[in-house]
Amino acid sequence: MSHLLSLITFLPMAGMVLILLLPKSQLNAIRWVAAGATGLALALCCFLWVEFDASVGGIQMMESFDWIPAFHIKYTMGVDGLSLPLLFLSALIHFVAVFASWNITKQAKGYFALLMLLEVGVNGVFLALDFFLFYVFWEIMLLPMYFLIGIWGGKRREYAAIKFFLYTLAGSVLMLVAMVAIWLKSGGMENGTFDILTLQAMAPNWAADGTLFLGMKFTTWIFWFLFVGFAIKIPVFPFHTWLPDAHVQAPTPISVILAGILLKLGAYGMLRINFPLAPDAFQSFAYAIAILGAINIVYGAYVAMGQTDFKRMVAYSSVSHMGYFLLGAAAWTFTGLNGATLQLFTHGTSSAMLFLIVGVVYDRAHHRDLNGFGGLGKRMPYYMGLSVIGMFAALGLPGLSGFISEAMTLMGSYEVYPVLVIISTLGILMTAAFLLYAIQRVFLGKLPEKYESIPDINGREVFCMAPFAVLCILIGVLPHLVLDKMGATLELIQEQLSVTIGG
Amino acid sequence: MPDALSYLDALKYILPEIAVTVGLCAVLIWDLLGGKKRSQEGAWLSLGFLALAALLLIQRLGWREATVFGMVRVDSLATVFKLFITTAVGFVLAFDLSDRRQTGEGKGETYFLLLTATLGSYFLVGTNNLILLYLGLETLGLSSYALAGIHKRDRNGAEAALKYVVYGALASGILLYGASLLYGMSGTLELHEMARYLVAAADEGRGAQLLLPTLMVMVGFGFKLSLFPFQWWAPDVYQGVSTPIAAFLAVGSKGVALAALVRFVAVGYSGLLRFGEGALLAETAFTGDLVLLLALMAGATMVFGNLAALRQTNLKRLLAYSSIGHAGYILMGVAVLTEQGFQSAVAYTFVYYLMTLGAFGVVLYFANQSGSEDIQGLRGMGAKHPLASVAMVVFLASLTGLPPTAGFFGKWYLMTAAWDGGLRWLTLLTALMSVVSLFYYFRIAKALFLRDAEEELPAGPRTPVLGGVLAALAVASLFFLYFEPLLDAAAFGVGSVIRW
Repeated sequence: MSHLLSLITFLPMAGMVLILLLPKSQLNAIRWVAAGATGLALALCCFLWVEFDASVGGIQMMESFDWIPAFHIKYTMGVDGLSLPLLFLSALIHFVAVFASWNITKQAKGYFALLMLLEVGVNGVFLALDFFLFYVFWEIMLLPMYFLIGIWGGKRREYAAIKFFLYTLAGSVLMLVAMVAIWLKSGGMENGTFDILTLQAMAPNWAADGTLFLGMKFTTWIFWFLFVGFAIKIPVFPFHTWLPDAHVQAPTPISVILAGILLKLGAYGMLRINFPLAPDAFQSFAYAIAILGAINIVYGAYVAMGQTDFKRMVAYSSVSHMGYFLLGAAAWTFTGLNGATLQLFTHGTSSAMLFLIVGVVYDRAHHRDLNGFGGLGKRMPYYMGLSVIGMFAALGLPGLSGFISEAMTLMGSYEVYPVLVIISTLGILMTAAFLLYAIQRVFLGKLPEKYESIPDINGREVFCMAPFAVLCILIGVLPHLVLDKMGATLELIQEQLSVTIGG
Repeated sequence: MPDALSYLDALKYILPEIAVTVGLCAVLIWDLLGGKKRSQEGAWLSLGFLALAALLLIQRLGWREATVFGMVRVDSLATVFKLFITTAVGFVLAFDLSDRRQTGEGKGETYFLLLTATLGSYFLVGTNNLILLYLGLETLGLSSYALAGIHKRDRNGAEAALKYVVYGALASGILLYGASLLYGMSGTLELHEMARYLVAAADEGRGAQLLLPTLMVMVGFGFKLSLFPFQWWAPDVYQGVSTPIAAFLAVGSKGVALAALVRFVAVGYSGLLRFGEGALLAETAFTGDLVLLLALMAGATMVFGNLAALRQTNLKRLLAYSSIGHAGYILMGVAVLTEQGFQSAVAYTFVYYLMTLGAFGVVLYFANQSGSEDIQGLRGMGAKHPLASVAMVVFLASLTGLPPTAGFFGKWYLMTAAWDGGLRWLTLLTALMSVVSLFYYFRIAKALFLRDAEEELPAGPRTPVLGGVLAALAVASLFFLYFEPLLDAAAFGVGSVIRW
């Protein structure tokens, strides 16, 4: 049995230990250890990408052994077409985040150690196939994130950090309660299980059981508990209020991680656990989820239009873009599901890029007020070029990645929710509006005098943005590179659930 | 019943008790013979005897269960919790050795009283006899009152001790009254014989009569465990006494009281319990009432403790309220009246032991450095004392119940047991309270890492022993693989009283 997946997960942990052993003064050594650990994890992910058999829908490279036998808890890891692109994205974003953090000197040792721990949690969530293990990884992310925002954030960092922590923990404990109930339902102390695949196989029996508890079926209860838990992470309206605060206060690399990968965890949890474990409830409430998706798309874009803070605008654009996922997933058609999952990947690349873009200008101008810039394109042509790629990818220009995933999502959903799709297209319009308006205010027009000598983007910053720019173009032109890897798995997931609900 | 033991064989069973008794005499005599000037040696002497007792206890872990001298019950629950209190007092002594803020006054007495408290705990956890149970409780209680008031000239300490003794005397009086009623009705002092009477009484529909004495006994336990509404003393007392003693009251005294409660319920009411897969062997109206009563108490305790902790600025007061909250969680495990419930309560008590001792240790560590026991005093300490601060974050995460710390596993077990036993609202309440608790626990983390110190303080004294103890506790709280032995110990202990 290969241990590739565990290696990818725990390599950053080794990096963390090494960093903690280094003396505080060895700043460069600390940075390079962080870069090495994340880089190695990324290299292994590339290897995994190549080795991965795209024709198989099920789990590959499974690792499994007993962890806490008294509770039937196992350490089970595995990868499939749903987790592979997200895992790769996670490894890439963390690797880039290390370089984006190169300038951080305040308690750098603690910073990079926490960053490594964060990657352990994220990679672990994507690979864990035991619900308990999944939950442990899920929660491991909270502490590093709290400190990363709280110590290295902006002026209102304390507020943002604890708000993030409280919201996410509230979601987590709901998931925990659902986990307790599911485990007992599956057999408890006698022969219960946390194995996600086994639980998925049991779910149809639970769905068929009509016993009511306080007026609702078992599956309905766990559906909503899990849904709210994951929805807070995505974040779904009305649970999104932590996001703008966290994003605005977090340092650039952490915003990149937050938007690029942490938001995807909620979506991943829905597809992996939430919907398959409560198939009948999913069917009953799919329309409600689609409505929430449409609200996210339109409301997020609408609020983004009104922002003057560059970063806040990008944060709300994330809310809008994650709505496409909800809409496509709720439709549960093959195209819609593929589009929704691809959207996770493309949004990961474009939003990471947008936050890097904000970071570059913030580092130079020390403010993020959109109305305070202008004409930067003259002094920073390379920066403008990269920014335009990122922004056009985000607004869904054909030929770039965002277009493919959004179009697929909308097409796949149209046959199920035509009205909602029509409403959602408003979001595209508004997204184009605020991004173009932002480009206009930052890059075009008259250059204020104080920015006469503003330096253009440097090599390190280009290095951070380049991979995302390449991905934005590559997926826009050759979307099958990612779609092929996901296809078989998504087909399987879609079929399994559709069979259960007889759809 | 096991065969009668010869006198000498019986003595072997109580060798740990004898070791502690010899130890406390030795400490007392040594103190009288001029040890006052060399208080450290007294602590080491006590530690030596505790280590001896611990070794004897470990040796007795696998022994056949027995009742010796008609009263002392030696079974695995008793042995496990004797080890619990022995090691807890050991940690308290280590804290005391590292406490740079106390004068030498009353040190010899402190060590003596800690040992008498240990001895009382031994009898409290190791008996099925109501009289000995009460004697054990009182020995522990009286020692604790005296420990609280040991600094005669300290106004806060004296006030704390007075509150403690007044509340304590009342609670133990009520417990004694309840026990006498139970004795009056059943005609026996032995819990397992009482159980037979209680089943008969409940079957005949006289359950209502049992409720009052049960409630009265619960008052006594409720006081020791600081359960709502008998918790009022705890914050004042914890704040008024020295940090090591506060740690003893929060961990040692609570732990053994929990063990005694589990034994009292599991043996005394064994005919009425709901053992085995949540199946109801003899569900009666009385059982339902008892479950509801305990569950309401547990719920009120966790709500009170967590909400009251929100606004505290003094660390010891905050920990006092937090320990009230945790008592609520623990009681939830007892309240479902299932084997799994008892096991989860005992397992959580072990977890609670690690994280609460650790948290008090960190308070002591920083009080040595800054002279302050307020959250404010911790500002900026994260950068200056990374080891203790990171240890504190581990304890806080564990207290909040975040994975992968022991606190999460403990809470998970409690919630599972409660959900399985039908107390689903209580499970939800626990989850909700965990979120609330995050808010106040992480005010401590915020002060440590997110704030800068207002003034530069000179470096405080070095306390390597304390640092080592903290590191050990943090590692123990962090390493979840550790959970398996804890579970085994809980199952091992509870099994011995349930299958009696």
